[in-house]
Amino acid sequence: MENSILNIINLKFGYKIPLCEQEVNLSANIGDLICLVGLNGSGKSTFLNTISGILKPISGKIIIDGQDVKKLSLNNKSKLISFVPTKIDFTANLTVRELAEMGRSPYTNVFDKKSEADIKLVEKNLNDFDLLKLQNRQLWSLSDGERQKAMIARALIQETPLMILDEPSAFLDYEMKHQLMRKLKEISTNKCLIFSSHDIETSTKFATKIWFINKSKFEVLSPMEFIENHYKKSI
Amino acid sequence: MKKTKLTIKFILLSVFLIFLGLLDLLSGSIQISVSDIFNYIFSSNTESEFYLLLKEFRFPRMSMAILAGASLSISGLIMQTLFRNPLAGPDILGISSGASLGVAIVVLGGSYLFGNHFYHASNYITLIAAGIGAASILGLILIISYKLRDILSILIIGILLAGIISAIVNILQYFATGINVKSFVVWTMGSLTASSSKDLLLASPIILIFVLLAFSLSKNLNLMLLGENFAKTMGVNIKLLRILSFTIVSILTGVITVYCGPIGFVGIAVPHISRWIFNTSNHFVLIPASALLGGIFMLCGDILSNLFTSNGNLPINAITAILAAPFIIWVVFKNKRTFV
Amino acid sequence: MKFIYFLIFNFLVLFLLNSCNNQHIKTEEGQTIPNKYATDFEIQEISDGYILKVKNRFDQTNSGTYNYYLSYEPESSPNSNVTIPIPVSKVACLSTSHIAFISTLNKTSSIKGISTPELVCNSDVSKLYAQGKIYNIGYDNQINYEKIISISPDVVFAFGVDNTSVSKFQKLTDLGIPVVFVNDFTEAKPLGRSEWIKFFACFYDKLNFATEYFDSIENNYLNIKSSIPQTTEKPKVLVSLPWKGTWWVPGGNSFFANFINDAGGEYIFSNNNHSDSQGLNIEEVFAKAKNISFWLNPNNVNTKTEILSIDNRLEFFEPYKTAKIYNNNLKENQAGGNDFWESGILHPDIILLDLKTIFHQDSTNIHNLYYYKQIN
Repeated sequence: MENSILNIINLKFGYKIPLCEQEVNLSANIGDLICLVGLNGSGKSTFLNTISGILKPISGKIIIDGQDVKKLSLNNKSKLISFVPTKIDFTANLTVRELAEMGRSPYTNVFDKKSEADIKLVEKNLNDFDLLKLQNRQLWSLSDGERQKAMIARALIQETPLMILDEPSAFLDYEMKHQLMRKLKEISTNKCLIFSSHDIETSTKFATKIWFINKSKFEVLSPMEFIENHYKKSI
Repeated sequence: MKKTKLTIKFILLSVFLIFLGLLDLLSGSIQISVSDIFNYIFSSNTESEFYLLLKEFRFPRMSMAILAGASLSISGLIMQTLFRNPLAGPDILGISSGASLGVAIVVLGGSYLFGNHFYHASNYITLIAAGIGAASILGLILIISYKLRDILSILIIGILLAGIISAIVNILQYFATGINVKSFVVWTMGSLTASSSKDLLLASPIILIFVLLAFSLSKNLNLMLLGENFAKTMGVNIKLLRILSFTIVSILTGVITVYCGPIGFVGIAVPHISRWIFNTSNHFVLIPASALLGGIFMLCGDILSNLFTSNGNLPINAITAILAAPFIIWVVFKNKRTFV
Repeated sequence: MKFIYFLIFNFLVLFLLNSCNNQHIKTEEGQTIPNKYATDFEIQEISDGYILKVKNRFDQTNSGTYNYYLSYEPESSPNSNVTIPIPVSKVACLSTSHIAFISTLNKTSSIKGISTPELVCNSDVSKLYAQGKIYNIGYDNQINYEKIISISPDVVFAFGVDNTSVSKFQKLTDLGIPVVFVNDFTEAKPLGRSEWIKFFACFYDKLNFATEYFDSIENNYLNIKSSIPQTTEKPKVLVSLPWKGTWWVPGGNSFFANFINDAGGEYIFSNNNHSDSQGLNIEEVFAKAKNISFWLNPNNVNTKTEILSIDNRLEFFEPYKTAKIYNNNLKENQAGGNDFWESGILHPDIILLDLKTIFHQDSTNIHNLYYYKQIN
């Protein structure tokens, strides 16, 4: 427990009223690819928003890499957690390259000066995601899948030990869903990834752990356990 | 947007700005020539025929046009980003209205408050009153921003504030006597010709400093482009960003309103023109671009206002409205999908 | 029997015709009393009173003229005229210049309602107001109609400024209170403005008095005018102050420009026919105001420092450095009411004497300035 990258202690989360009856106690390690499942309205997004710092917890502690998140500056927090939202409103003239480079903003100065190492990192990740040839294209002109890739690339460029993804496969076709899961598996070798999903069948093939919000209670299960005890029973 | 293309565009715009500046110096009731201007700049002869004209009238007017254009455009850009609203402008928080209230109280209500002994309609008094009015609204907005989370709520309160102030000003106008109403109405029409070289000396350093401060917010403003939640996860302190932005916008807008009266439309239109010409939303590019284009816009307005009347005193507000509206409409139609 | 009916029928017809004729006589134009200088009013004497015509330059809907029918024997008036029984005993005035006219006729006691009492310079009226014998009836957009009705004046003297003026007073005319528009302030000639005393006199049956008074004022004025030394080099004169980059100056044919001309000065912006003010670019005034001897009427300043507070560039303005500056606010009261525009209207001769003294300063001038003071 002590070497975990993420320790959630006695957490109560929600907007004003806690969404869970009990306090939540969880931990996660480097190498984990955790899938957060639960029915609609169970509070998956709220939970992920709370861990990633968008929402304040009602009570309890979140420890990342041994540091209490409440005591961290916003800048330092952004070096520990990166967040990939489900979908973003692309009303700006942003290129793929510009989005990717945003990943380095926790490390650059006020004028966003990027070092050679920064630039190399950006280009490497764009290459890995096959986005180099698209890098000067504006985001709104890409397909959903390409946009998703750009977002995840940006999160990788942020070089955080913990990465949170909110329903990353929501708008992807079946082929892309698989590609995405394979990529996440690859990333999770030296990071801790937590993602939420409704696609049980694909997710359970790749996830190392399932966090299941079951009637306002958090359960930690192995994928097999979840499928046998809950999934098969409900369909 | 490749680096070289960017540089070329900036150079072209700068050249255009200088050209318009020269044209503006030549505009006015008194005819002068280009050589007169060069003589003024390069010689130290204070007794030459047009020395006073250029020093106290043409140069301040030209400089105020550029400063006003730059300040209002940058302010409009920042407001459009923070409020995620393409029609936001520098006055969205009611700063100009606050300045109007200050001037209204002093010009319209002065005779009630002070009778004959206090020369209430003096220029200095209106400057100070406008400044206090703008600062008061800023203070109010800062308190509200600190307490409220939701940007939409701040927007609504800003609009309501402007509405209340407008009502109070109307009441003051209603009870005032003819001459004072005329003075006040003239102020509301905006004027670039009211500033002297002394005024310029005081205003320009303030504007320059705050324009640079605005530029330093670019990185965080860029991160706001994908929404507040995204910005938070990238380490942006939203409340602090709002407070800093509102302060910078209020000072820029407030100083210009104090010296030139309330000037509308520039702040809304020019950011769109910048986005269109440079095809980007990157604030590191847009802020200097808006400054240049804002200056160009106001110089055009001033040159036009001197063309159409023999005494060059068409209210600047009328000109900016006429010039800006088609741009706004055109840019909206051209870029239906990207506003911010 | 048929003959009697025929006679009765004839009498009826004659009677009706006679009445119609009487009406017809009332709408007929009377004997015009020509004015010497005023152009914006006309007095026509008729059998039972006067017809007064006022030219309104601002109202396009009313074909430019208001007609007022004043009668010693008021009967039902013809449609287009306003009937006012004279002589009047109670009036309300919306301008301080009206007070000046009426008090010159020694009829101050008839004034029962005034506007902006704090701006009134006439001490009798101020005293009566303080004693509660005169009421404040409001001004501009907030006329206190109820107050006026409670006074129940025989006539309200107003001034027309734009198209809304007539409709503004419709309430009063509907209730039978006549409203008369006095446009003395649109007269371009100084003596023309003073001549409006005759207009007011018609209401009080003092036309002869007014004519005598006016003739004596005119006499004084012309004497002073002819006593002004004719120099080949007339002193150059500048008027007023800028505001926010625009300098509003009187037109070449305006009231004040005519004064300057009559006093032997050369008004530098007289090269036009405007009778109202023009807005000039401040840089133009700076360029053209050279060799100015006298700078008059700088709004309502009292010192040269106050001039600088209007626009700090005036420090470099040649007239600021070299001209003699005079303002017409010596007789200004606490609240800013200026007697120049009140009693001054009836004393163009004193104003002219003031200007003559200012323009032609030599040891023979012993007149103490009455409306003007020097600004230092």
